[in-house]
Amino acid sequence: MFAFLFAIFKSDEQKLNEEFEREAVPHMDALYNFALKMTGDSDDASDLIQETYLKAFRFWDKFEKGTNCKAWLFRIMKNTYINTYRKNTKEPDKVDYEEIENFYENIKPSSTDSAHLEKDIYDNLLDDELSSAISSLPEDFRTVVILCDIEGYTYDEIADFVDVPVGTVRSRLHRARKMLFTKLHSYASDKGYVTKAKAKK
Amino acid sequence: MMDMKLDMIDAYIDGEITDKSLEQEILSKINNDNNFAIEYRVHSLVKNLVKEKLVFKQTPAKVRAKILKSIGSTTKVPSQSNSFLSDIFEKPSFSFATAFVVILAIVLIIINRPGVIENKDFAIEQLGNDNMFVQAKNNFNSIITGKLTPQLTSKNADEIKNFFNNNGVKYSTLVPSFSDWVLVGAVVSEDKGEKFAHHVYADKNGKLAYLFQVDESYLYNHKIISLSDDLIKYLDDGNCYTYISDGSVTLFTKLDNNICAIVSNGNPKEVENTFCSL
Repeated sequence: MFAFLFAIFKSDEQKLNEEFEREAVPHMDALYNFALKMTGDSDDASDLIQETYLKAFRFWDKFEKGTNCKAWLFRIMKNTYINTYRKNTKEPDKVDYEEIENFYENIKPSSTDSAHLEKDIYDNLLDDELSSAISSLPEDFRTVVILCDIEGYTYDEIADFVDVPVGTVRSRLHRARKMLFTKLHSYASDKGYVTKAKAKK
Repeated sequence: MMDMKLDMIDAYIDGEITDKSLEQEILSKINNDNNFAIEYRVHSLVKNLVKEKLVFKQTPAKVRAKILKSIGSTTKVPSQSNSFLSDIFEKPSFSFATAFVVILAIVLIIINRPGVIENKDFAIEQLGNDNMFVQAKNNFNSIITGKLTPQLTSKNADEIKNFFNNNGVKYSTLVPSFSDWVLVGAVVSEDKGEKFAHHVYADKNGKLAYLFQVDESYLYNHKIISLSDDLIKYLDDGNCYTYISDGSVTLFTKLDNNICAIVSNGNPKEVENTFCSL
């Protein structure tokens, strides 16, 4: 009787575990990187990913088999982040987009053969500096950059994920890249790789 | 041609334009309008930098292990299992047997629970050419006998981190600065296609301290470098391990997600005070 009982327990739970491990666990690194960029802190990212996976496992029966498991996990992580971590995470100071736009127009090269556009200049920047530039973006902009440029999601998938129209995704990406360029230009200027931009008259 | 918004450039860069005529229109703007051309170059540059320069970090092995353990041992399983379990317990013929099995399982878990690792001599457990302890000792010997020289000579921590980054080290590296130890240089080694970071300090008396750091995931997943499980657990618990022999001191400590081996011919106490307090 015990053997029978064990067999039933084992097959039921083991099947779920195996299914979850096969479908969900392979996306752990992608989610960890997203968590890291969203929270900007490795301890918070570790907590966030653990909480995400526990929730995902708890609600595994709600996951529609055959749909995009990675997107489902990202959605759980985003909601967990919003509900638990966002209020504890120090948000970057509010961004005055008009100011950034002015600065961007000021540092933006005037021609395509400008030295500012040489990738080699920015190749000297460190991963930490790039991460810090991304972390400094407002959350909406940070999310689209991570999902598009790091995770490789399409605009449709991002729109579905952040629940905004595709046009908004496009315009957020456009602004986010402008902000990133101004940040990276500042880092490169501070290190002497490019000449500092003159103040706008 | 209608006025086109500049953000269409981003859609073009991201391969989001499916309409051929619109694609041609954007291409023509990029070729004929300086503003669009610059915008295209700037935004392509930013996208490529983000894609290429950001180091993809692996989930720390400890976190991964915790998640897998939680999944395996959680009692909160999806609802269809819960109803099945409650059905079983409700049947009197099964309730005693189930309770017996649960108690037996608890007793077995308690009996087999691993004990707390004491500060034992971990050095004797470190064997084989792929062992980090063995590699660190051998590399240090090669450095002091002049067989291994720095590929980069620099006193600048940023320059050394940059060197690691540009030479294929995939994990985040740490190059701490000290008042009594100055940076001398760095080496990037390769093992089975993976790159590893090493750097060297010197004190005012010319004594050297060599630091070899590896993201902990390599010790769990990659199977390129090994370290005994006991020592990894000891370091995970926040301890610093010290081993003194043959005129040198070897330390193991953990910095963020990196396991660090430090070997030095300096004063063991001073080396320990400096590097174990990181």
